[in-house]
Amino acid sequence: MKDNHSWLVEKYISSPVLPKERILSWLKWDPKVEFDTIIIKSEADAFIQRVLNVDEKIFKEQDVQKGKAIINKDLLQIPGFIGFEAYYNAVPDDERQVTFVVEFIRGNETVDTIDLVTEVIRPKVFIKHLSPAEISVTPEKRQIESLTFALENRGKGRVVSIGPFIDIVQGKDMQVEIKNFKEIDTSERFLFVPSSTIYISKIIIKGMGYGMITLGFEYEDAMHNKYETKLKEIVLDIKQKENVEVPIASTMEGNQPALVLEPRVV
Amino acid sequence: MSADLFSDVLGGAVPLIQTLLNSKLIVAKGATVYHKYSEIEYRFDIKIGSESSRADGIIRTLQSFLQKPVEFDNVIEILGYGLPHNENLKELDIITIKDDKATIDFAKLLRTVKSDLVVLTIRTIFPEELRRKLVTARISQNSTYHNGDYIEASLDISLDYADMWYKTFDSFTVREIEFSFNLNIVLKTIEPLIPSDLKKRIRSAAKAVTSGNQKAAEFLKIMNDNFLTFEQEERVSELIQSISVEPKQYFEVTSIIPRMQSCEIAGVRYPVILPGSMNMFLSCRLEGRQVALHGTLRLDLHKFNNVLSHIISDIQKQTHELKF
Repeated sequence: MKDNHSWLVEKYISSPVLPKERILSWLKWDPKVEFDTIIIKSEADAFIQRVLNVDEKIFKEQDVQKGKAIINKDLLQIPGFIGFEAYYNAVPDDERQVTFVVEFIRGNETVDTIDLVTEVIRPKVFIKHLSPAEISVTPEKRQIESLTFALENRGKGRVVSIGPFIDIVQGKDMQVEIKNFKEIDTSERFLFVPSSTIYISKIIIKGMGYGMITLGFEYEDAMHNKYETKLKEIVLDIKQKENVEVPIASTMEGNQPALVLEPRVV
Repeated sequence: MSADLFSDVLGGAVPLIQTLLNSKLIVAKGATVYHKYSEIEYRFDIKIGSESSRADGIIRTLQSFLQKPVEFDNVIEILGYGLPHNENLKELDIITIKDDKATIDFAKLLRTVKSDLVVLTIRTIFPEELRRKLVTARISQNSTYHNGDYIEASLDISLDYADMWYKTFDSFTVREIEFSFNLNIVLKTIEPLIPSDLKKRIRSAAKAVTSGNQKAAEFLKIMNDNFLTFEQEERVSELIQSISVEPKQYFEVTSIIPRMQSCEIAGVRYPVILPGSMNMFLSCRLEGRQVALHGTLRLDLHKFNNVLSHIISDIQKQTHELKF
């Protein structure tokens, strides 16, 4: 059988996939090929949810849940076909390939091995640039400009929603939090807007003194997997006691197309 | 042979079907599942033999089914005809249907029909539990954008629980496996298509209309009316041209529903209605012997943008003379 898999009619696996997104895969081969058993193996964090078109006895084997499905040829319901549904259940730090190995066994010998490789993708947002790097209020300079983050999505997965969060605040005489405010957008950057009412995230600082916050962005992909960017340190230098509101603005570059095809449940 | 697709669906008629199968009087059997509608249509080719052979053949075999017509429940439609003489079994009152109950009078059939083969098609409700088991589908959650040329999304479909159907039928097809996608048209994709001089005129008109300028009001009405053509048949035909699904022999785009969105002219807060989204419905057909299929939906962004550009071009032409 090991002759460049010429006996194989079709080999397919869904790719790319997001973490926890359904993976479908199948092999079709010449039914005349001789073997006794098929073993499907998955790697860590990849789970075989179901083997398609096989006798239900397969699922009583606990090995399936441990990443190994053993299918005797007699339990195949369709000659020349094996398929499975799987998931990659972890949220990886980086995009990566995940391999399912299908072995065809005759007697004690592995007569052929097929690798089914899928790419697990994810969004990966970086804070490219922050301007300004600190929030400073003095009696001479009370006007606060927006904190503008230039973000970049370097992953192949699309970001579906994103918002800032504060992780650590240091400064004993200060209270810092993030809130969302409804405001009317009077700028004319664009011709058409969905609504003049917009929601702006702002950092609210109460107190005065010198301090520091670390701020990051949490974001989700289309499977609602959650991610966080690395944190950015922002120095606070508030020389007079007042409530300071600092708007947060962000722009996103990289793999973030404006138009997307989204599946709808029918 | 599994009886799941018979007993769970044909109910009381199962003993008849089993008898016909066991005595090899059913010479061909097929089933088509209309997945979207949760319906299944059976086709049975039944060899009833020549008139002279029936007394010692089929009549003996079906003795217990000849006392009264056999009933079928949950029937949506039942049809039958003889081959080669094309007798219409409904017209001959051999098969009847009332509400969701159908009957076949086999005694009358064997007395009346001259043909030696009878084809029966019975369309009935397909239980939801079986329907869910039958088709496993995966639609990509992260469509791929290709350099401003096209967007792609993939679909994978497989039939499962083959013990229900693979060995039972000579032919098995699942039709009308429906998928739907939505394209949200964000405003920043429309704006670059509007020439800068037209943008200025739109903003000026929105400001002028607040002080009662009639020409400005006319301009904005023409603009809105043209954007509304996005929902009309002519534009829908153009939009369909921007979508392709492969492989074509198994997939088709069945409909597109364009929708509008309410928004405002920024800074002036003048309401406008713009193209908002496009819902696309695809249908897939899967032959049983095929078992599994991978498909790709592609939206050609150049053709799609052309539809929006045509609308904008019409706005320019129709408002060219208007001064305000």
